[in-house]
Amino acid sequence: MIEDIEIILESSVRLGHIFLFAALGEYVAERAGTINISLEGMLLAGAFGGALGASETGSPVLGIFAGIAAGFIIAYLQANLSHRLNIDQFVVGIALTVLSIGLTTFLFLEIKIYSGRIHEFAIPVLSDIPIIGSALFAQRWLGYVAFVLPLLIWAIVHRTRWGLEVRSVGENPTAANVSGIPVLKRRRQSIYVAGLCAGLSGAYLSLAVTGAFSQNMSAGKGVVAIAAVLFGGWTLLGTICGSLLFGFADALGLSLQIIGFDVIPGPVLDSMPYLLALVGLLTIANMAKKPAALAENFDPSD
Amino acid sequence: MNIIGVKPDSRRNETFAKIFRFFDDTNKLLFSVLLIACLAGGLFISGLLVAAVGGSPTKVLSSLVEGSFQTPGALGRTLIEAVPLLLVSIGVIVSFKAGHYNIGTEGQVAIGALFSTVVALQIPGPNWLVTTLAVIAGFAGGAFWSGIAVAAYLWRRVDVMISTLLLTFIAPNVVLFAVSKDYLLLDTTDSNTRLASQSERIPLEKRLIEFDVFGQEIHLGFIAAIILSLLVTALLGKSVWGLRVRLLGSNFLTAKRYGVTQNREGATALLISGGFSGLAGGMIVMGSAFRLQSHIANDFGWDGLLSAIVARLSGYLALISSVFFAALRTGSSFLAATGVSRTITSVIQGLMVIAALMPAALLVVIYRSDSGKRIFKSGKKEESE
Repeated sequence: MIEDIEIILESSVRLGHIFLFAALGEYVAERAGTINISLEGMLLAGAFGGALGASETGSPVLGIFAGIAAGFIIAYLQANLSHRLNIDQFVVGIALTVLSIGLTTFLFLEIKIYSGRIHEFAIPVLSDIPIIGSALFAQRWLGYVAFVLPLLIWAIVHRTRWGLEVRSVGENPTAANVSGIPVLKRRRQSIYVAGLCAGLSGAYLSLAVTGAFSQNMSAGKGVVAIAAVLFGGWTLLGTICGSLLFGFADALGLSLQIIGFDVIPGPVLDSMPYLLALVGLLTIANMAKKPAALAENFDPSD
Repeated sequence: MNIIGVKPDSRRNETFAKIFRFFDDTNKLLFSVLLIACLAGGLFISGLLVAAVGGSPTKVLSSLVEGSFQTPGALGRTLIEAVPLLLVSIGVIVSFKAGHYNIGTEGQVAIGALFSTVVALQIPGPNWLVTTLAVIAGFAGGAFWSGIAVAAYLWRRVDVMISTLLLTFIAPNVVLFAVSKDYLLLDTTDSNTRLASQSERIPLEKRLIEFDVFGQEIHLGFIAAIILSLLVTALLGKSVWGLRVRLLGSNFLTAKRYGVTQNREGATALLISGGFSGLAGGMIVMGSAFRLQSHIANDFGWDGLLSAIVARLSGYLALISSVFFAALRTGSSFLAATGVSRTITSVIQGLMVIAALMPAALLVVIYRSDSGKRIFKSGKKEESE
């Protein structure tokens, strides 16, 4: 029983981190007023870039950077198409997601990838704590970024001038514009942050969780990460809780099948994270808290 | 056209202006030219990509054309593939025009197919009636699946885009559940000895009627899809309902002033949109797949969504773009001989979608440039001097 709990906890931390990294980036983008549908594409591009980079250079560390760069490329396109050239952000998001699914699938079949896997690093004393020790303190080392990244995002968004401007751009772009804040620039920059984070999340997925890239491996994880931000009511703490909760649901679905628990049928367990995200949005989430200018295009020339 | 204020020394701008002066004020023409150029550019980049992995772009193109149009019966197969794509596109157009982004079409296709199969296999009655009911049940299934998102929106204002997407990832699991239980739809006949997760085949006499047109096999759904798409496009463009839907999508506040609400018009548009995707699922089961499996939607939902975007949300252009997307699907099976993976077609799709968005972006660039401002000044706001 204890072993089962440990297995579930371990994999929920592992899977939760995927959602967490991506959701933290999406949090910044949404606070600036963009629902960044291409997060899914950024995640997938990050996963592919990570695996490709690690395979070509032979070093997982460089692979991580390649993954982050791949996420950034998609983010760059999304940001400039939607917040410089004024194309509808959702349509751009769909287009970029589709393009990255197509490109990664095609290149994956054409290029041979042998990426390594990031090593496990157990923190000496802490990892011996019963039940939670192995889950939290015996991760593959990239997982420890999860202790730092939320603090970093919090500091950037809530303790810098840039963060204040980002938040004001999401609440009232017209007022922000009048007071001299470059609205579209802040929005673009916030999408870049989302791209970097989603790229990291993708690289973590392919290099630390599975150790190999597979076709369309993000499979809706980006969408769940967006749902985590909504679920958290656009607060940082809520976003973190949401992504860890969905990670737990994902892990529970997978591990219960491995353990051989068959009271709940397999298909239901497979759709756990999506189901829970939907139920969470319906019950706990408070849509009234959303940034006032969320998903509205802003044209400074008006 | 207004060319007052041309600086005599700006040579480069002068040539630029000359090129675009040709288009006069008819920005539509400029737009079409840009669109065609961008689509061609997208194909060109795909060709470069093929060449980059060591394939031959011309061979890929010719085998795509061969597989989708030239070989015997290929045109018919392409048109049959285009049926669900067209239906999904029409639904997407309705919801996008209403400003509600239903992007969970893939899931709605699957649930529509599920409903159709249930009716086709388990309801007794005369064949023509069962077939009709099955197709209608497909519509109901899709509308039901998008209805969940509608309910979530009406009740808690959950973003439709996110909820429809989440539902998309749940749908195949629902179908899988249905076809893996013997008390539901699992095929328990002798032909399925290994109990693979699939339903029984739809009996021959209950399928959509097929007929021959110039040697191409086409089923009844093809005609139905074309009539429906023309009907909905006309309604969107000409009817009061269409005006209200478009008003809702273009300006929320004006719409509210005129009594158009998210709750009524928005919800209806979403239900119709889901219904059309479900109808597409029904057509797939009753017209080409004849059997339910968990991956029944087989990207038809996604491709239909893209085809609507490439058609720039025009119902008439969707007729063309859905055939194009269908041709990519049928043609891709002929790519094996060229040594290039068939997934190149999904790259082409992605590039086409980006290409379809580019003209609007390029127009922004042109408007913002110095000579662009001069030429198109009459169309835009007058600058105060």
